[in-house]
Amino acid sequence: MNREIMTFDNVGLAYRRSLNPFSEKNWVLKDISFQLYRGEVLGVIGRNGAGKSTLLRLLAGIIAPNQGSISKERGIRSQLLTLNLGFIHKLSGFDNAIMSLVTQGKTIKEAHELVAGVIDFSGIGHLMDHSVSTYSAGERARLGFAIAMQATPDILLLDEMLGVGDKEFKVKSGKALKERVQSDQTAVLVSHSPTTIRKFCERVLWIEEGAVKALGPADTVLDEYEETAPTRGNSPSKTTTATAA
Amino acid sequence: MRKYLDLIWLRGIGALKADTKQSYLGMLWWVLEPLLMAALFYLAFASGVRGEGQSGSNFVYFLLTGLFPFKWTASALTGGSNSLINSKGILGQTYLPKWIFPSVANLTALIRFSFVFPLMLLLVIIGGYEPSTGWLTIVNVILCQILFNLSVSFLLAASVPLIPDLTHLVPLVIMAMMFTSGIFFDISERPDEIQAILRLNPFVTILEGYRDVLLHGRTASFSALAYPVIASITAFAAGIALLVRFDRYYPRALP
Repeated sequence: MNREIMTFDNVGLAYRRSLNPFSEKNWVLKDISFQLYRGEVLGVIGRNGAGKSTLLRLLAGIIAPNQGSISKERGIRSQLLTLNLGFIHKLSGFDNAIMSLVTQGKTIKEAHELVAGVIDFSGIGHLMDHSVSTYSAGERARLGFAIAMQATPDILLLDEMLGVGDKEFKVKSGKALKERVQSDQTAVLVSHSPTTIRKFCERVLWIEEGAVKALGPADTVLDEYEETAPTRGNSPSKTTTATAA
Repeated sequence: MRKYLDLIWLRGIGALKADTKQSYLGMLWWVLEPLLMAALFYLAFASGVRGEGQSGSNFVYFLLTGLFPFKWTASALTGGSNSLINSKGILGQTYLPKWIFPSVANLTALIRFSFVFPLMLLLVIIGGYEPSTGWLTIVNVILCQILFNLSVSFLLAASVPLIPDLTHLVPLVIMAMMFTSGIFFDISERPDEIQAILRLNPFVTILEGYRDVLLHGRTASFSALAYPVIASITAFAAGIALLVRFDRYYPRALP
């Protein structure tokens, strides 16, 4: 197996129940330890409220844990795939594309070189001069996805394996995402669908009530998960414009 | 670093562009709004409360050189104090250093003032104040005010998400600044003990800098601006310290 690229060591994260600094803490995650290896796709499975989204935000470096430590190799960038990185709706699709690319860590110059790829992939070139406020939800998702695909993080973080937009674009975007994940990209895929995880991941981390329930080869962990979760697949999807690929 | 500056630039310009698309008159409002406000205050103050002593015509220029710079600071501080809260969408989805956001608010306020400032100079010249080489020292005052705006907005941006109650207080503090910074009256004409209290506000020195140079034919040296500079650097240090300390806590604190 390859070298580890990121390590979680007894990580815990708590929220206060109210603004009062003496109010009780709610531990969303407690004592999470695991390694992420270079080039692998790690699946994270768990029920609603298990702490999956919080775990992703920790992996993305957006928030820091209350206890334990997260270490990663120097200069490693992890990024959440997201469809809307601060669009200003009054501005044109083109302006927003440039701005989002720079928000993802490109320079203005690089963004101008990459924007052709965005326009091409999104398939809405004719709308790039229009303000984003006039876009339909599907067109906005197309633009957002096309921008997100230009990001080149060392660790790609995915909240569900999603294709977006109308039928045609859903196939196209789902395919692009699959290709990306199946390349030598290091990725973490969070899902509550064992089928999706089985398809893409070699190793799976199962979290339940904020703690690691199991960590190991996908088949072993998922079989165990499915035995305890006969109602899988009934949880509502988080984004209305998206469905599992 | 380079890409963060690129981001500040793009988001600043983007916010201004979006702002001009919100109304029919667009950019014109950047100068129209302070002009109308000045006219309003002139009507309110020059006609009644303070007609005596100073002639009304001088008061216009006294008012303009106080009100226009104040409007700049007010918009920088208002924008800065809400900057993290207004960016919670981005901050929840990707990591960015938090100082970027108050900086964007300051950039947009600065660009808007760069349209208002020539207008202010023009009005003062039309009013019969002769430009001289001494006027070049206005640059010192402007630099000092940029530092002041940036520093106080950093401190506000850092504090407001941690103590949400401040959102109620910030507009009041800005209004208090408007009434105590000597925009409508000359602080040096007040009793000594009142002056001593009012001059604790570093912004008073900045406004006096504008009047000294443009209306009184004096120059603004760095030493005269020492107090606001030191106060700003203190606020800057406190603001940066908080922004760095709570860098990865803010996304959790934002409502």
